[in-house]
Amino acid sequence: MPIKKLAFIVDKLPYKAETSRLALTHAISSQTVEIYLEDGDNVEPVLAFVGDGVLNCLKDQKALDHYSISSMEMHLKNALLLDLKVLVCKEDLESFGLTEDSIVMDAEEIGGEETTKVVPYDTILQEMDSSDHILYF
Amino acid sequence: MGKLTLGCFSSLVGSMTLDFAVKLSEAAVRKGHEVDLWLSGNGIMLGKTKQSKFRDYSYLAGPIEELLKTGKFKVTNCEACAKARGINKEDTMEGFGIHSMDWYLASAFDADRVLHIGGE
Amino acid sequence: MPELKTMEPSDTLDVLGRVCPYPLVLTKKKLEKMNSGDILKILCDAPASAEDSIPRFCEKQGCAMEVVKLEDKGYWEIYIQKK
Repeated sequence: MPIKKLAFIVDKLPYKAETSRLALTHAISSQTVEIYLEDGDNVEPVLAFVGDGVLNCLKDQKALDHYSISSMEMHLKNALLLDLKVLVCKEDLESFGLTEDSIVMDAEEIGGEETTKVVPYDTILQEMDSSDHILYF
Repeated sequence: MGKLTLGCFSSLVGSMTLDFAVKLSEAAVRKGHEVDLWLSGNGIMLGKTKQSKFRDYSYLAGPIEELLKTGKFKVTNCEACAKARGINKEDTMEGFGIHSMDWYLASAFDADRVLHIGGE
Repeated sequence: MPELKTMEPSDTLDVLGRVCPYPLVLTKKKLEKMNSGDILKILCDAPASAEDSIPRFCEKQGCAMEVVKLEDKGYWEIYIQKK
């Protein structure tokens, strides 16, 4: 029963283009890919935000209020609700002067149990190294 | 022979990235490999009907039709991205699949190589 | 065996205006919390979800399912009975 690991690496800004939005929704779709696979086969996603991509994780986004479009925050919380592994690069976060307090760390209010992990870049590199395929957004 | 899965999110005509994806598909199919091309974001424009052929612009409808005839090439549009842009089934070229995003991941599952070309 | 659409649903999931991956992802999540035999009614206007992914999922799961296309309203009502 093969499990293939897919790394979704996001380094694009939120909202400037749809790239990071598509990264999140594609990662979330890993929860239903089984409908196309043999019984027991599946994919294991890991979602990592690096570079400018860490800004997708900021709290209190108001895209819905101002642009009538779902926010990256909403998609990120859905990812956590669906137990996706979400990593944020520590060094890139710090380069923007941000801390864990600035970003979405959990989705408790919607029943999520998984939390965001702020990790060194080396950890993200290890995840990429151990993946079967890398999808770089 | 192997399987190559390509994910291309870049716009038609406005960027040469789709041209690259199609050229790569042609090269892979010529070598006897199987190719799945997933189009999302602006990439879904590749499936639009009634594309005109001009010398000064990319024209990919013809090469795509030829690739489909080989039987070794599958191309699929993301339904959400297409509908958001007003492109429905009746606006999509014959032979294009229209599926949800999990199709891409399923294609990647048994691909020998995945090249995620991405978008703008 | 009565048709699912004539039976009282245990719950309703409204995914109108949502597109992939959410219709199926939310359906799956909802069904996980329901009991065997419960009926979930889904309102969905995304063709690929209503006519492809959700039916595929039901077939894989062995769930009974009915899809009613409401042409005048522009969406589908999907009834799934959890196995």
